[in-house]
Amino acid sequence: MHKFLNAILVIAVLAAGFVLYQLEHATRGLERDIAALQGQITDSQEAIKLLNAEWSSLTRPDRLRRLAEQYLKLETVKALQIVGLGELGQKVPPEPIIKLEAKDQDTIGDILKKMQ
Amino acid sequence: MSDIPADSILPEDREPAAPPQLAGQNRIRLIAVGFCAAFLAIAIQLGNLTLIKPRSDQAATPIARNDRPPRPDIVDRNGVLLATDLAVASLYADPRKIIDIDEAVELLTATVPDLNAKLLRSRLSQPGRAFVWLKRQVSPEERDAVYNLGIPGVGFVNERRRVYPQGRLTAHTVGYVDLDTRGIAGLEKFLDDQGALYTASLSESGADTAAPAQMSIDIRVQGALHDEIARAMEQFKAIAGGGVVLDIRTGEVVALTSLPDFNPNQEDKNFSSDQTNRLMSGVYELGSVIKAVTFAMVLDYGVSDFNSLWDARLPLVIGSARITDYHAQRRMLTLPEVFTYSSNIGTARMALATGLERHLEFLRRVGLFDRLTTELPESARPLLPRRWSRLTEATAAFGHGFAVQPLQGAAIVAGLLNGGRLVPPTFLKRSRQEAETFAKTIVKPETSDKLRYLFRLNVQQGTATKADVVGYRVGGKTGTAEKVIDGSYSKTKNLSSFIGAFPMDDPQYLLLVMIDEPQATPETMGFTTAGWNAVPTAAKIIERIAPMLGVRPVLTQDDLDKLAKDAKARKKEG
Repeated sequence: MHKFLNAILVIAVLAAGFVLYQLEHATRGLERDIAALQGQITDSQEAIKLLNAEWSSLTRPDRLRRLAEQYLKLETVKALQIVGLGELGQKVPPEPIIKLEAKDQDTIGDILKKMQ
Repeated sequence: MSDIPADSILPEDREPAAPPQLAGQNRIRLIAVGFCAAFLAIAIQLGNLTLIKPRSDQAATPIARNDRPPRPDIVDRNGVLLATDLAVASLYADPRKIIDIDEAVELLTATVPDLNAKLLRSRLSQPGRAFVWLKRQVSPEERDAVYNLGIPGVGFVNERRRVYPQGRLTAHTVGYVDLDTRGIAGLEKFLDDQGALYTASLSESGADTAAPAQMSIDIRVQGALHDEIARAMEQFKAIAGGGVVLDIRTGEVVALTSLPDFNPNQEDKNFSSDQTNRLMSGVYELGSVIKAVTFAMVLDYGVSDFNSLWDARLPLVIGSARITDYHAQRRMLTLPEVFTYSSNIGTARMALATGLERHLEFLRRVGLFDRLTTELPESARPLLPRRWSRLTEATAAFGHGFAVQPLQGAAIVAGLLNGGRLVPPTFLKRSRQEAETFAKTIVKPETSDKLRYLFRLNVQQGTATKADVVGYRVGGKTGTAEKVIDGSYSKTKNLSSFIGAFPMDDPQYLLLVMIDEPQATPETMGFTTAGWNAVPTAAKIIERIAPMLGVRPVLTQDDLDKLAKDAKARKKEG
């Protein structure tokens, strides 16, 4: 009787130990995953910060102005050029620069072809 | 032997049920109970920890690097990044672990060119020390290169580096930090010192990052202001310049520029006093500001109305001093004329008519006796005449001997134009309701209306006509102060300034421009007064910033006629 009980207990201990070890192993694996993900998140956050800083630096108003003066024919907006929504109807130029209603014509495509 | 009665052997063994007693059995029992108790405690705790109490989720989060709360990013009023933290590595050494100092020095100087060999050797030759910095904030490439050298005793610490992507544009307002990321200037210092509570409110407890601190600055307006002031300085060969844009109703500083400035990202932060924030750390005699205050005083006390006449026929003589006019009219002037001709004589007479006691009372009311404090550490006390005589009263009326922090002057004029509600200026974003709780009434609303009229009139037909940007209803006052050189007023060196607001029918934004020692150029017809330099600069600034600030232009028929005339004139020239 005693022997039988002892055998059961030994088997139970072995089984419990095995399950415990499995759990422990799985947990460690998950913790490693978490640490790896955390590391990736931190890296991504740092990358976002760096990119944000770079974006802010690249869109400095003085830099944009210098580039616009160099490459675009733009001027400071004059008061005359600002039109309210209500008066927009009266300000439409009589002849649109690009005729949208013209059918069977690919205006933008033509421009692109010309550029090529 | 067998018939010996059992009870004759030993008296103790005669109790039949009792097991044999061994020596120390009680002790064993005690130990057994103790063990049981201990194991039971462990079992209960085990059960408690594993079955009953849930495991907290925090276990995997990394330990915070230091005890200080994370430094918040700083953004402008539209969320554009002005200051942020980036991760960088710093190179250190443990001199005790370095085996061959010569080799280490040779390798390190070859890899990191800006390390000084002599200094490096002396640092590494300290066997008693366990830690010396070799170089703070090295670039990622240098870090990798030094890693690959594999010198024992040399390592890296990950640090945070503060960067200012907008560079010069935010030099004076955002400020900067030292190598250990402690704020030492501008808003950065505020975030560490008085603003610690504000900083703490941005970060949730235990969080690794904080919400950004939002400034009142609009970086686009700042860019335009900076650009135009820099151009004006170049054009008029001035030694310094400055400008500020204030939201009149909330007291927010939308832009602030002081030139010459500096790049806050540079490593060497030994800036000269020439690069300080002139608008806050220095005091200047700003005739434009002080005259506006004097007119507000006269109108508020009812000393004069628009129709009363002031004698500007002859220079005003007080004792041995003579007060003269720059744009001398030599006749009786009405109050609006005194303003538009910027008559010193008229202004002085008005102040004398008010009386010294009321004059001082009014200056105190608008806050010209107090030091203006904002979030930024710089704050200069106004410089007033020490003893008030009849002469000082007369000259103080148009700003002689009366120096004030330009930002404070701007805030006071903003208050005078804002229906008499003075709002202390701020560098942090603020709503109109919040501003209302700080506001203090300094003049009657009617006085403010009259002052608005005078400001607008001065741009339409006074000294500031060049500031009349079509459509934006600009109003303003010019000031040309002779600079004090070696204790007396210089006849050739000026500080010219312009203070204006737009749109004048409902003032929203105030602009102050000052140019230090402008030189005469052919375009200014040889003049160095404000009307020829500060005013056209202000016009260019307003034309650029008004659309950004959402001020809607209104074009009257006169404006359209004027534009058509200008276009025709240009066509003829072209």
